[in-house]
Amino acid sequence: MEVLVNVTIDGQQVSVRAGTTILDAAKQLGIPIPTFCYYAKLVGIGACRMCLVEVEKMRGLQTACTTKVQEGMVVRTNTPEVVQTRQGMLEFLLTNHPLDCPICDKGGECDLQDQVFQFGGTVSRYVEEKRHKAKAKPLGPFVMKDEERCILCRRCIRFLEEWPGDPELDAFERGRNTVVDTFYGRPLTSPFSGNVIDLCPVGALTSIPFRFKARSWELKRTPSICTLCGAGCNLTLDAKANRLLRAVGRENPDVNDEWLCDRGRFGQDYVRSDQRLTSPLIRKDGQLQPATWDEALAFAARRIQDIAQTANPDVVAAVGSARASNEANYLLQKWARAVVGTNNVDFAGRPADGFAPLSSVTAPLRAGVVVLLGVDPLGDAPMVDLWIRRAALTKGTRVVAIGPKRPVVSRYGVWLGCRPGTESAVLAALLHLLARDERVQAPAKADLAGWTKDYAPDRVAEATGVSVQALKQAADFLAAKGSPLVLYGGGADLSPVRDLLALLGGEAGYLAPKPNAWGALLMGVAPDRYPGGASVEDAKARDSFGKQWDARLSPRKGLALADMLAGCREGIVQAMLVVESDLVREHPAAAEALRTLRFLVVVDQFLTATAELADVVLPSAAPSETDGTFLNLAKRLQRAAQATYPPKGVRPAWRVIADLVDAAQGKDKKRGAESHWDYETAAEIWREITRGVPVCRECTYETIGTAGWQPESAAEKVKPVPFAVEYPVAPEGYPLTLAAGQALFPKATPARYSPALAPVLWGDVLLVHPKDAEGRGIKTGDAVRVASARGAVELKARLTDEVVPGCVWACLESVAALLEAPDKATHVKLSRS
Amino acid sequence: MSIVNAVKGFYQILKAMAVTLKYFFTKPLTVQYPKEKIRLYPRFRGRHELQRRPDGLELCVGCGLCAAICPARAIYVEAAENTDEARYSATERYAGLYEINYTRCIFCGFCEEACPTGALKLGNEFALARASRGDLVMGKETLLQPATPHAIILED
Repeated sequence: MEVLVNVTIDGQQVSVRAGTTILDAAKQLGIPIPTFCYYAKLVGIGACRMCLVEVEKMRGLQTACTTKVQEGMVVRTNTPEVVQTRQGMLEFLLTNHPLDCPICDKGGECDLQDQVFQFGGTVSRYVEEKRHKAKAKPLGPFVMKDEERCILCRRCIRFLEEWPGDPELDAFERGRNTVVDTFYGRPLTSPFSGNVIDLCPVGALTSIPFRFKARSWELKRTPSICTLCGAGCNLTLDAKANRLLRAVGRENPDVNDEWLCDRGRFGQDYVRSDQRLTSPLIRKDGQLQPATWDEALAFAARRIQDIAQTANPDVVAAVGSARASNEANYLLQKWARAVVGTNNVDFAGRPADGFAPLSSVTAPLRAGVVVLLGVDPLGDAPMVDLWIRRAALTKGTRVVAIGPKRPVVSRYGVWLGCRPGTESAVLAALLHLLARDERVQAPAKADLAGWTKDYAPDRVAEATGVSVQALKQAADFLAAKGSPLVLYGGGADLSPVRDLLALLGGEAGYLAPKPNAWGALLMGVAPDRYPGGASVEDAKARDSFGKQWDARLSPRKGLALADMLAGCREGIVQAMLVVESDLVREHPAAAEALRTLRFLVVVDQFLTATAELADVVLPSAAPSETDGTFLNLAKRLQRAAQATYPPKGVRPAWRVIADLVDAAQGKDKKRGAESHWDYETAAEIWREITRGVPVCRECTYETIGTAGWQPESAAEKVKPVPFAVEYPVAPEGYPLTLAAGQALFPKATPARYSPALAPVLWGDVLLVHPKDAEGRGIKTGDAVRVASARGAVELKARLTDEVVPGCVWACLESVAALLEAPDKATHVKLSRS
Repeated sequence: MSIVNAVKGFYQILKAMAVTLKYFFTKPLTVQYPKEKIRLYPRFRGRHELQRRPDGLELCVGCGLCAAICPARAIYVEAAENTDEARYSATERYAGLYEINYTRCIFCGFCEEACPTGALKLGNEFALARASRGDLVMGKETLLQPATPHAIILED
């Protein structure tokens, strides 16, 4: 039961929970108390003395941010003594704070400016020379430090300690010489370092990419979301003169609280890249050459029509994208189904059957143990990583990481390093231990103990390379803490996960690395499903969509992406439309398959590796240049709003598809009520979507608003089933296993085009365990050749014990061509080149 | 009645002609511009001039306060960072792009008042007619004083 205490602040009575600070109590009454070091989401330390107030019967003034209220406390915030003390504190701060506001990037949104204006005196009595310290000193690739401006509030230090748990900053020296710095002058490397820029109440920590780009009042601020991973963090996009200049975290407690990772904060500037496509391209004499929109659209429409008519509609395929908005994906599948007449629609990274979304991006906060099944959230969804760190730091949540590469968050638990493809076996060994642990109470326990009898830890350890001691420690965490949150990636085998949940409760979710994987699926970008999930073989759904789209729809299931690519070589697929998907960099065998096509149209922002193979390339707008909705990894529906206009000659992907239809129907067709392709805005497409997709029926752009909308979803009841794990066997000549993943700053589209991320992008690096390097004479920095049965690539080796012996790790985009399937570990050989 | 009216009318004509005659014998106010120079009052507000420091560095730091105060939104500033190789102003920041649109400017002088470094002054230049609208958007090459030479005197 909570205890209420009564306090009087400035003569007003208020009842607040015991343990509330004076500052929070005053906030409830709407009484302003100025602060610098206080921040609601950080622990209060009372360092700046700005919030001093008078408390009856207490000697001297008290800091409102750290003093807890007590029954009958009488507080005054506006006595002459308090007012004079505030003026004094501000005068003290200004004795050493340089008045270089005109050149300071914080000017206009500076707490010190605002508070001197509101609470400060009018003149300074300090006429001596101010203290001088280092100006413009970079702290890592993103944060610029100005030591003179620092008022030593320690917000940055506390953030890095309390949220990401990367205590990289601290205060050095004493008194007026105190400076905030990294240890030994190392660069700031926390993946969440950009947040200290927002937190800094003055201009001591500013953004390097945004340096001197604009004054705060000149910016057009658009509430939107980040589309660089599946988390969909809320942010504000700031633009000046139609140039997107910065992203700032926006509060949403259900997604990102108010933080952003450095990829999301600094990577948005890819839209300003000078490599953007600004004109359609047509292949003439083997070269892609600029063309007009009319020319390119007419050519593409005519060629696709010709191919579909000479053969049959099923030789045409459409590839959507987990990077594109719901609106673009919806129109793409509508084009394939209603205009072409085929169900050959799919996209890379489609969640497999049985995959579930997370309950929320903040799910780690409610978990006892976070189980990472072959995924590293720092690369796939950095905000989930931050929540795991926060849960570990504040709630003692433990991490059990199973996989070939050690994730950073495994420092809050244990890393069960195993060879790629054996994650399920390791999980089975954990189940073996848990089913025999007396702390675990579950009805299915007896069954499970029987099913897992073949997975005794020592046997599994031998087959997978994991250590028995680590297995026992992980099982101990799970048994002691319970309620696991299992995060898995694209190729996961879910049967052991189900058993774990049956044993311990908790939840499991697919850590979708792309911003709209669930959305593209819901929009029907799947060979067997219409928007909303109805099967294409369901005659009622087919009639209903046929009527809505005014077309006869094909009753046959279409080809999945892997089958489409395999079919390219055999002529089963002859023409393809690819929207905002860089297949070559994320799907094995895509490059050779696309080369055999008769006709390929690619819609994208850049001349990607896929677009380079196309016959027609149509430039499309980035999510920040048009409206659109996205469904994040927790199936939260959010709006990416238009912050700037697209560059001249660029159209939003949804408009490109609609224009393609218009071009196919010829110029003589009157645009009018009878056309289903007259969309003026993305909102019109969304209205059409809501008519066909029952989950979104009540939902408009207005109801999604800036906070997003989470549809209700019932948790699936899990039932344990017996399962068998197969251990991968290395073929002759390929002794190592290659695992592919995503880095925090991946060289994938679109992050690879961001100027701000360019210096930190993950290069073509291969992680090799020193044991594997030894016999081959490989050292860090050496050029090495990795070869699988499919081909070979050259990469730079980096020796590290982050990977298990027998496994090499690289980013998906550098080794996609080698893999057997996008999420499958592949046997390779390694040599110095 | 008609005689009285005629006398009154004649008197009015004489009075009016007296004014005309008076100015006929006074010095004319018309200035033969552009042959003759026009005399301006000391606080006349003409085209802007961006001032330099005695050592040749620009006073403007590109803070954009002039653009912020401008009621006609005639000013556009984009700041840039000084480097050791290319130094334009004394601080870290200078105006990389500084444009005043004279089709919009109303010569109110607020910008001069807002300028924290005293870089912006409204000068005496008033002959601003141009053949095209584009020529009325003037950049640093026109506004910076002295326009030539672009000599920068470096410290020892």
